Amino acid sequence: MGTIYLVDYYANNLKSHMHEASVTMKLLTTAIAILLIITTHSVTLLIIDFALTLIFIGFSNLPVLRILRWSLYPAFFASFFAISQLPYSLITPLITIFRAVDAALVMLLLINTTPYPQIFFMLSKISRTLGNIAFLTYRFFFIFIEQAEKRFTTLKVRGGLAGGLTRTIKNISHFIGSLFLVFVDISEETYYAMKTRGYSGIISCRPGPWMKINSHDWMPFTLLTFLTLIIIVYWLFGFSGGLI
Amino acid sequence: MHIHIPDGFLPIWLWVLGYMLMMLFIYIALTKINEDNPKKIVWTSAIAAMMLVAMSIPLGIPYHLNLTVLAGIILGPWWSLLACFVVNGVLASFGHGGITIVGLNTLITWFEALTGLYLYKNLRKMLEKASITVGISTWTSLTLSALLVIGLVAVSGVNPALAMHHETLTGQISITTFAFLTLFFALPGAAVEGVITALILAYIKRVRPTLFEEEGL
Repeated sequence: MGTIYLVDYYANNLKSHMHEASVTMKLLTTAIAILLIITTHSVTLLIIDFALTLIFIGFSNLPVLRILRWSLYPAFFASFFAISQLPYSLITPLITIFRAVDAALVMLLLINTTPYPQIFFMLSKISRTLGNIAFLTYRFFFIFIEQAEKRFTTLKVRGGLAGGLTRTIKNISHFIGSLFLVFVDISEETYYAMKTRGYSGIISCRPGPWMKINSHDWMPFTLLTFLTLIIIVYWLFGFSGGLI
Repeated sequence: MHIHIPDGFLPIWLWVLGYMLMMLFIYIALTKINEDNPKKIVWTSAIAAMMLVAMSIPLGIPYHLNLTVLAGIILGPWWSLLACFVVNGVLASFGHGGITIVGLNTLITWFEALTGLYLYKNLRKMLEKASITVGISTWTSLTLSALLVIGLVAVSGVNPALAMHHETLTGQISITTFAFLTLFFALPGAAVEGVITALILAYIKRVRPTLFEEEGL
């Protein structure tokens, strides 16, 4: 239930060069990596990218197996496409699966080493309202998920998920209904508390030192360099559209 | 139905178009809404967070709740777009739908919210019970959005070489197989969500009947 909860914990509490690196460099590296993943036609390149990202996840002191497990979630949905492509080729379904996993891994490396508010800061530069909504959603999520987890445990312990599908659906509906009311109360209270403190629709976000290029940037820069080298090698020699 | 299309499958023109349309609609939304409405900002954020929490609740089947229709009815057309964008952005950040697909995903989930909202408004004139009306609107809009996804994939698979300049990249996918797999999970899921949404509303109306009077719920 608490994937975002854990992501937030890893981003804020773990220490590594990747965590300390500037958001600017991390976003640039992520963008280049995603670009490479979605434009490549080579399984080999995708496998290299997969291995490289995993190594950097390890160097960032993140739990590699857990992150890998999270990245398999998109693989499940990619398998729909992969199965559809099976009658035509064996390589294409592999590309489909690896693309989904690689892109997810790169994004996971970014968000597990960068707190969400730092990313939302970029959004608030585009629109103040959007930045505010993103930031408040993030705050509410952690308040709500805590409430949801407590009540969900109670539901399970009291056998709310046992007794057939009809009963489970009814119990889950009541569970969400009651949660909904709790959430409504919390958001109303939060709103009035914020209003008392002078909130008028603006949460000021100021750029911090995390925006500026710093000495820890060598880590995302190394990943960026590797990726760029791979792209250059790929452009020069190509991987003939499949396994080499 | 949240769309779980991973990165790298759809042709670039399609997801870029998705992003452009999303940005256009968000721009329109930001001009239509009153940005100095702090209460609505807080409400939109709370609903977006509720959607994220609902998506995290295991149902015991390969499907999760979305609450997009409920969001559409409560927030209205423009604020629900902003909620859909934030939810899809957060989800994509950990691989729940691709990052390149955020534009299309936002449009598809917003489509659910909009169709749900207008279906609800029209059906409400004919049906007396709000919970049943919400259930029917939810099922219909989720089914329509599943068909929209299949349509999008069909469009993307017409001639992938046009977009990718590489014939074997996406290959010619079997749209029949894809449609079968998608509907196999989406239709029962939509039915479950329709029932759950109706029961949620019935519960809320029983416990706190005046909560959504303004929204006509």
